[in-house]
Amino acid sequence: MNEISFNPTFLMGEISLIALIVILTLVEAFQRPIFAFFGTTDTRELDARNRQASRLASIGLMFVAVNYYIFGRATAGEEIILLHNSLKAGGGMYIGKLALMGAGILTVLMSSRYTLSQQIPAMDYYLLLCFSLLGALTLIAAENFLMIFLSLEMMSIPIYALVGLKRLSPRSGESAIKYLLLGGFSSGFLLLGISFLYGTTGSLVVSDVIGRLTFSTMDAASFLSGLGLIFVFIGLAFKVSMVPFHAWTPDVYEGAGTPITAFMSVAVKLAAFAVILKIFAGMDSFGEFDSVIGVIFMFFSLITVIYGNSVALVQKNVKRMLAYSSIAHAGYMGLALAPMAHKIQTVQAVLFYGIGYIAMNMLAFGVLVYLTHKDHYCETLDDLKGIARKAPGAAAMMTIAMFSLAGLPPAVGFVGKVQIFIQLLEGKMYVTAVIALLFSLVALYFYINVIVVMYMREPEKEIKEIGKQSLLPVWLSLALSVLVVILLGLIPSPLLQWSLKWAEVLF
Amino acid sequence: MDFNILMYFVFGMVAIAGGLVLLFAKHPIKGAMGLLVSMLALAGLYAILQAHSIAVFQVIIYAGAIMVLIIYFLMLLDIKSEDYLKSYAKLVWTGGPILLLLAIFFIYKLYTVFKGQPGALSDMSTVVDPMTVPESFGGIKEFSTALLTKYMFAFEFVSTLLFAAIVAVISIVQLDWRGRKND
Repeated sequence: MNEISFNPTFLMGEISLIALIVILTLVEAFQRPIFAFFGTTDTRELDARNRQASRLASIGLMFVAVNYYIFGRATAGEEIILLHNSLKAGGGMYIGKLALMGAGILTVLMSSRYTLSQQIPAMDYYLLLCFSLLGALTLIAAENFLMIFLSLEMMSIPIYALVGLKRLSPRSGESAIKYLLLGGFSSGFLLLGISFLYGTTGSLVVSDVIGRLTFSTMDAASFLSGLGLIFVFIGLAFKVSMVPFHAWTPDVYEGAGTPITAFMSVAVKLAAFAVILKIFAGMDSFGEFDSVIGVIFMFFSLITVIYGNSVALVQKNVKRMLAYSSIAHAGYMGLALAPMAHKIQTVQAVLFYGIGYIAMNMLAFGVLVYLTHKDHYCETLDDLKGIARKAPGAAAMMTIAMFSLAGLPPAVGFVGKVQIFIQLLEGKMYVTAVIALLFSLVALYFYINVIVVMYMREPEKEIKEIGKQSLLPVWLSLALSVLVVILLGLIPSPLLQWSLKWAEVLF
Repeated sequence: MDFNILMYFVFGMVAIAGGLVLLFAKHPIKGAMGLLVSMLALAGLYAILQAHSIAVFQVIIYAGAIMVLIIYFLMLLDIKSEDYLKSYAKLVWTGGPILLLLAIFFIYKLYTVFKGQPGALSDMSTVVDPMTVPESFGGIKEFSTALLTKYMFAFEFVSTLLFAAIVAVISIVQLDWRGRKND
């Protein structure tokens, strides 16, 4: 009875990632410390160490992904619950984990240039990134609330530190403290919600909790478990930055290093959304509460779409603009949950959107990283003025990213948005669909504005040469993401089928 | 009245009183002492609910280790600034009433719900009734058996999480803050 059911092939991704973490830790442990306390830093040595760390981390993470791609393929046929209801593995989870690993690889590739230009101690940076990725991988696989909480913390705690690692900027420390405090607060909400749910249902396993919830009459248990569900939703909505739990997003996205912002806006968002879907879309026993949950999702998501898109209009800072745009995108993903009738297709649409969003947002942030070097920090619209003449390739990439984010064909953003709107229309939510559509037209303005600025404005001051420091990995990351954005935009059906498989696992 | 139920109310009141002291105390150390009282009262509540191991952990870890840490940091930071205390008082007096309203709503809601259905919670078949749990419940043996079988993966995962937290702290602390420029 106490036998521990364990089949390592199902956890190949996590196991090889932990192996990579151990290797990175050991490599760092046997080197002498870079920063002497109260001493000055030798930048040349820091640069050499950073190059080495970047090489090790990117090759290692690619190895992890290839390893999972080969071995995980065999597990995609069956679903299995491992380790006493701790994790679910196999089935369509394969594509989710690969997408998260892809986000990790793109982040590491673009970080190799960024850590050099911003003098960030790279080995710690990559270690923390790997930890966060591990948390995201276990979060989407988590089968009980205990693992959901632990994985969420595993994903967030390294990011609190990563946000504060940009040592040349005091804003970075400020945003790290903000994120840490608010993140701790939201974790408190999540825990309180989980304890209410445990108290009323006597189980931590998500499927058991969902099965035992009854909302037929408004009795004590319904009241407490409803409160628990709301608190759990608050804790998770904070991570995906839905209004009104979005207040941290612009400051933290602006203060953090650009690759970290990219990672936060895609991987953390996708993983947290997978959990929201698992808890809230997997419910069949809502009873009359069903429509209430639908209305709650519709209300908050619509406000999120409206707020994100309208505030992004007036932003002068591209990173801040992308932060508000990421709030708006969280709104679009949430909107698909409003009609509760088409469950599995709804979840499929959200997951597809989330995976596509990884590629397009990584592309946009990748261009910013490409244009940032030691003497020039590229983040405002003024910095982008006339950049098309100096860096035509990067400007073209940015154009594709903006098209995709705005939801124009032939990029993946178009297919994702179409999926979401189909769900809304099939759920007969015409007014919601029209409002959301109107605000994606509003969004068109600030996305196209970036393109206009890049191609048609004269630069105010002379643009400096783009530094040559490790350009190859950044180009690689840009090429990979642009390939994914275009390919998925033209041939979406394989990913749609995979997201359907993933949606089946989440139920 | 049953002794257990009497003690339940006593500990509950003390825990709430400790929380209020934490919220309203002017001096940080007094607030810390309020927190300590609240934690000890919580340990008492756990003991009444048959969760003896948790009660012991509560005393050792929270009332012992974490309290020492908190007081140590209060000592290091040495918050004396009048401005800080004033702005904190302003926060309490503006946020307090809102919290109070929420608390009243919550208590009223619970009261009406439970008045309509006495014993609503213990009627639910899935809930463990504290009066009927086996004798060994909450003992260190049961606790460790559950920890090392059913929750083994979570237990191991926590150790990885702690490692991640250590790496995070070290990477932040080792930064050369004097090298910072203003931007």
